[in-house]
Amino acid sequence: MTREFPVFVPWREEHLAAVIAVPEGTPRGLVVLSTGLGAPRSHRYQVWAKASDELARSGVASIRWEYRGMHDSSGSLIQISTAEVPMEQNRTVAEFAQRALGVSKVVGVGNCYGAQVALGMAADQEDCLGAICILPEGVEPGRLSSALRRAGGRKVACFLRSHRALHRLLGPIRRINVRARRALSGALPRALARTSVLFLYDRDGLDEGPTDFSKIKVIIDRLPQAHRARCELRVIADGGLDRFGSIETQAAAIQAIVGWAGERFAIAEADAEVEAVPAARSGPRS
Amino acid sequence: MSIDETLLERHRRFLDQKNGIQEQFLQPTLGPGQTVAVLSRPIGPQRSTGWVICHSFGIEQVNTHRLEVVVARALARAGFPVLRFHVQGYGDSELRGRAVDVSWHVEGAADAVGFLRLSEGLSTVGVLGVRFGAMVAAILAERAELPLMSLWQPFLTGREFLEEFLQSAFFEQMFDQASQGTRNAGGLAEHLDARGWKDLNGFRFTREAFEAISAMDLTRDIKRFHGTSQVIGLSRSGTMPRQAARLSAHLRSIGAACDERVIRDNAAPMLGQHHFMKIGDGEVERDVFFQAFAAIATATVEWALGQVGATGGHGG
Repeated sequence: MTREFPVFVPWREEHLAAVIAVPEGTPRGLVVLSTGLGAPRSHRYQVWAKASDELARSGVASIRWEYRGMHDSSGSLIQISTAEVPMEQNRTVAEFAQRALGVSKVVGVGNCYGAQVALGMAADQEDCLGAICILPEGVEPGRLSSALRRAGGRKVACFLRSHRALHRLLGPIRRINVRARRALSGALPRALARTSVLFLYDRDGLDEGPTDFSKIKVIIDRLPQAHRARCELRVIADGGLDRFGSIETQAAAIQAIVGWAGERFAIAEADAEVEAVPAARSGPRS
Repeated sequence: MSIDETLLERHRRFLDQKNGIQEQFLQPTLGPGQTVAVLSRPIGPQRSTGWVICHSFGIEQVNTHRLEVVVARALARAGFPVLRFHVQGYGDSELRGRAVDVSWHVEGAADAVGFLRLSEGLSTVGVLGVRFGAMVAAILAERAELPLMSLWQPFLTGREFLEEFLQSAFFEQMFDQASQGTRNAGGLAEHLDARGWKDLNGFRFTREAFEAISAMDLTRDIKRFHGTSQVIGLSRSGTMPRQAARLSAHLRSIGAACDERVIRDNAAPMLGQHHFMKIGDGEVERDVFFQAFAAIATATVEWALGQVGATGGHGG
């Protein structure tokens, strides 16, 4: 049975709302679940809550949490810059859960804005075994995005992009959005230098709009082969991954999270056993 | 290594000395399962009137949750205990991966009222709610004979709520379904497939839910409420939205006291939808309801303070 503990984690003068889910027995590790902007700790349609259940069934603990000023966390927030990734908040909630559960190994998971948080963990947190980044917004917003938003918002932009004739018309100017996000271009090489990263995509988000993977691929292609080999791209659906917008895709994402995180913890467990064997052999003999 | 339950228990609550409030996570059974609730309270003396917040339906629960938090904290600053919670099928509740049963909204809220009254020893509990949650609050106030309710951007009928709810959902799904979806609520039933449910952008929307919400009509369902109510409307123009005005008129027609309040806000038509909008070069996202939520909280607190002379001052 999964046991859940809702907590307010102190961070500076604020308190970050979180739920820690604990499996039966000693947890194999901890998954930190970060959300896209505006989503609560359980995520839209309980996707993170359901992922916590599945992780617990595989012996893995999790913490799902809310950024300062959002949902049940304290503080107030009129606006937020997506270029500023709340790594200090994330580290605080992760360390709180590690301390409470007595686990050291963690895996970061996040979608959209939360994907940048997860990647930041993999880049800079020594005990992080890897990150799952779900549809990160890899493209730096440009003039075209701004113009389309002013014209009618993100859905209008997606609508225009999804229609072939309009898409052709936009072709020459869509290249205005060309740069990879600074947060990604900084964190991704650092993350792959030390650990593994899994990108989860759907086909709709793969080569269009703000999640366009080609900008991320440019960064990966510049890295040494050994680092590139630690990166995996998995396309889990045709569409519906954006904001977990289909039930089928939610299930596919949860399955991928549980499977991949489980593998990371299994590799760490195997490595720990290998390290333990020579130590035992070199010990005193009776 | 065992888990440090003392540490976890100690962090269920926090004190906000600056605002004079405290909040505590609770895990009561509300409706057919356990759930997570947050109790907001003053640090100092507490009034003997408390409030339960009823959340909206589907994705609106997520998109209007911050309003619940802002109002709960404002009421707690004014001395009131306030309970907000996740109905089964939402958030951290026990029932996960199942289609939401509309009856869980009312059952959960009814249990929450009883839970708050008992746990805090309150003489009076009122209900609050936004959009669909306002309808739930009104129905519960009628059934449980609660004396106080504040309804934010309420609907008079479930069909009218569904029209807006589904219009937003279809708009997100695809442009060209939006016009079909808004003609009439009856036509929307056709979108529910042979399985009896539709995947609405990730939400399992069932025929049963469609029918249960369609059957809600506050002119028929609210007949005996003789308490005091507040209806807060949000509009671009500053005039009371039609649905809210009709509900106010109905409440007065059955002998209830009803204070009306209109809050003018350019984002009003978006209430219930995702409220972080990219601005400027797109790297900054703004909460378009930041001011509106604060204004609703202020109006609710002013009204609530006006009621406690008659129904509950400070408790012992």
